[in-house]
Amino acid sequence: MTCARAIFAAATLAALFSLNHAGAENTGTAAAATAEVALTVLSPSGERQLSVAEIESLGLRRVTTRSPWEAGTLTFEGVLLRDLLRHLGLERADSLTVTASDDYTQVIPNEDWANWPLLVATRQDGKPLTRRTQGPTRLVYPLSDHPELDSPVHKPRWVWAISSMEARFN
Amino acid sequence: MPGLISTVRFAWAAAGFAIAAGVIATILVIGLTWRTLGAIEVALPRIGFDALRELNVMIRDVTVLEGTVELAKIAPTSPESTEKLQEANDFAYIRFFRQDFSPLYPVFPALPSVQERVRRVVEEIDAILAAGRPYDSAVLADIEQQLRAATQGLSQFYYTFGENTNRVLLRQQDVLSKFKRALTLFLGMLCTLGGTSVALLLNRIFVLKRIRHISTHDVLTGLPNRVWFGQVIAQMLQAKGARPLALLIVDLDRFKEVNDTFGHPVGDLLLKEAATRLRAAVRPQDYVVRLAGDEFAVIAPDLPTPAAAAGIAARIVSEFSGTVVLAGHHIRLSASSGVAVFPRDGATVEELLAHADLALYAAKRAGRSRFELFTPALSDELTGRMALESAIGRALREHEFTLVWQPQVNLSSNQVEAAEALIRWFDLEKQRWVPPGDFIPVAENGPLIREIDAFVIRGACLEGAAIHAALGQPLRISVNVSAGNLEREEFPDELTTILHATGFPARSLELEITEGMLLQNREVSGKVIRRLSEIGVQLAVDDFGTGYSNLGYLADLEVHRLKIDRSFVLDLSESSRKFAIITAIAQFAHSLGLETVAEGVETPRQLEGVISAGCNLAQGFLFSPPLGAGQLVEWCAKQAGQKLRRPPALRLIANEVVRTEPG
Repeated sequence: MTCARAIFAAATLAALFSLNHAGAENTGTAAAATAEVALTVLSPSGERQLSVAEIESLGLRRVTTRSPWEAGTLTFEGVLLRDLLRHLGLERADSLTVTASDDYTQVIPNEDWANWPLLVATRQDGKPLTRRTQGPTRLVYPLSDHPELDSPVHKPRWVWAISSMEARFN
Repeated sequence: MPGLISTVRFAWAAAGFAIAAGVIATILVIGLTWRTLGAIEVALPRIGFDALRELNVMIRDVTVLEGTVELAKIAPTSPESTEKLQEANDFAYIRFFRQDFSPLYPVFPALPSVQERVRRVVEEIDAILAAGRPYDSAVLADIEQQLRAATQGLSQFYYTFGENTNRVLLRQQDVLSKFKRALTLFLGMLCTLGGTSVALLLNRIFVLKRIRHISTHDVLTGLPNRVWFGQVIAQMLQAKGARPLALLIVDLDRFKEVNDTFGHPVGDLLLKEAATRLRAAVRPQDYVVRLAGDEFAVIAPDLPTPAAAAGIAARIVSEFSGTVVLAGHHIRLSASSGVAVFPRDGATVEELLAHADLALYAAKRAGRSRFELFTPALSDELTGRMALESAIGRALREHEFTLVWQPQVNLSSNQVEAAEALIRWFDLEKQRWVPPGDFIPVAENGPLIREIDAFVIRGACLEGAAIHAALGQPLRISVNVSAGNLEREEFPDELTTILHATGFPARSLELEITEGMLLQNREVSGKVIRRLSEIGVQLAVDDFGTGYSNLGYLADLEVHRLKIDRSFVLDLSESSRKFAIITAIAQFAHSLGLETVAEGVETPRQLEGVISAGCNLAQGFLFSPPLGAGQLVEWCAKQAGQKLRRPPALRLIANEVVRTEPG
């Protein structure tokens, strides 16, 4: 985990330096993020590093939903978690331990991505997610389409600023 | 029964109490549950957990940011400190600009101002970062101060709120454990009530069974009673294809006397003994029922033939024989039975009962200690008998009975010495004379004979006194007394009362009794006869020679006369043997110091016979038919060949001749 954080930190640093500390909120980082490593996926078969571009190449989906964390209705774009896991051959994993760069951690059970179109969002309102906007990737439960997900059980699973995911097979 | 009633009352009261208590307990449980759930369902803990988690991450983010500001102050030129400050500031931005904490405002009103303070800090740090290294340590120190204040504000609330949440949780735990105890108590109560209800229900079932048993069984003998009998026999008669069924009514003979003589406790013992013997006498499949008092019934189902009922009845009657010792008393045991067989003698319970009763009545009348089977003829006879009994009762009330007199002549002096009073009945309703032979035997089977006797004795004494007055000399009068009176110890006293009331002298009264009467119940009748002798009344044995040949009583009892039965006199002329008997009786009577009276003397030849046989007196149509009192007085006067001292102007005597005698 520290390794992943170090890599992420390095990548961010590189991006920051390459952009020469542009003062604007997130314009520069978005361009860099498409090429840099955004997400590390761990599994019994090894480790896989993904860039935002690679993730988005699986096909973008748009989800408009309420959020238990933020006010108003939000519009996200990204790929379905199940598509991403299938892409990685991990869709049959029993659970996914998702960790954010501030070490916030949640365990997502298989049934969540099997039953609902969970989104690994890379963009909000068309704009790529930065660290300030809880990026580069964040997990979105489509509450508005599936009210049953609006529960105290699913609320904490909205992990943002994801740094890594670890697939576990029991 | 009072115990039973109070048990039933208690059962109902307890059941009512159980129901009321159950309802109250249920209401209490529901109320308590709602109150408890309401107390537990305070939203605070859930908001509390959310709030604590959010406060925790806020405090963490602010603390981390404060640390990175400190780092930047120490190393204002290090790119690493810039990078750390940037990252911490980004997370603080997410937390305080993007995340929506408005749901927390109600519990944490100071939160917006803390948020505002942190937001300003985030913007200041953004400005410092944009300005580039090296950073102004004074600005950083100020920022640090701001962040510490924010941390303090958050922490203060965090701990206060945490303790409060804890307290609420504890209180809820307390409420829950109290609820648990109360619920246990209430459920225990409900279980107890339920158990009590079941117990009461079982008790009620038991009590009802007991009531049913008591209401259908006799307490004394343990036998089923009339209620049970009514139910069971109705079912048995309705059963299709049933074989003949006999209904036997068994009645103890002279039970009332046992009760009167030895008291009810002995009577009860006798009833128990009777129940035991009845059960022993019948077949296993027969039912023995106590109908009432000393009346029992036996239901004998599945008889091979109707005649088989007689066998059962015979066994029962023979079982009731001899004496039994009860409470130290020797008691003669005897029972009579009447039998009716279904379906031959009746199709309904009522009919069977009525017919068995008739048969019983016939058995009683035929001398007791026997049984009779019902026959239609019996029914007719008994119906006629009952009608006759009621007519006799009416005749007594309406004064339809009258007396006539037949003189007895002294054969040596040729003088009228006595007259026998005879009863006559003119049935006013049917306008005909009823012969005594028709109604006396009927009356003898019931209490009517006593009234008839009383009428005859009283009437004879009254008329006898009048006759004495008219004749101016005593004339012995003779009256027939029934067996029933000789067995009543109070009879001598009643007779004394009549003699006093009428003023008739006891020495002129002769009571005629039969041999059979003397032999029945000798103890009592012997006592009565001795009392009658004491009074001074004379006794004659009626119908002598036709009864039992036991003459022992003549030695024991003071008898004055023997009336030789008319059957010996009737064909005296043709039969020398009869003459020999009369002669023997007369001689034997003389040797005992007794006089003899020949009855039914109708011809001079018969008169010659009885005179030569040595009889002292004779009565019969040869001398005179029965006469009214007035006629008797006239007849006597004519016989004596002398004038009457005064005319027989008595009202009583005048009445006698209103109706003429038949034949």
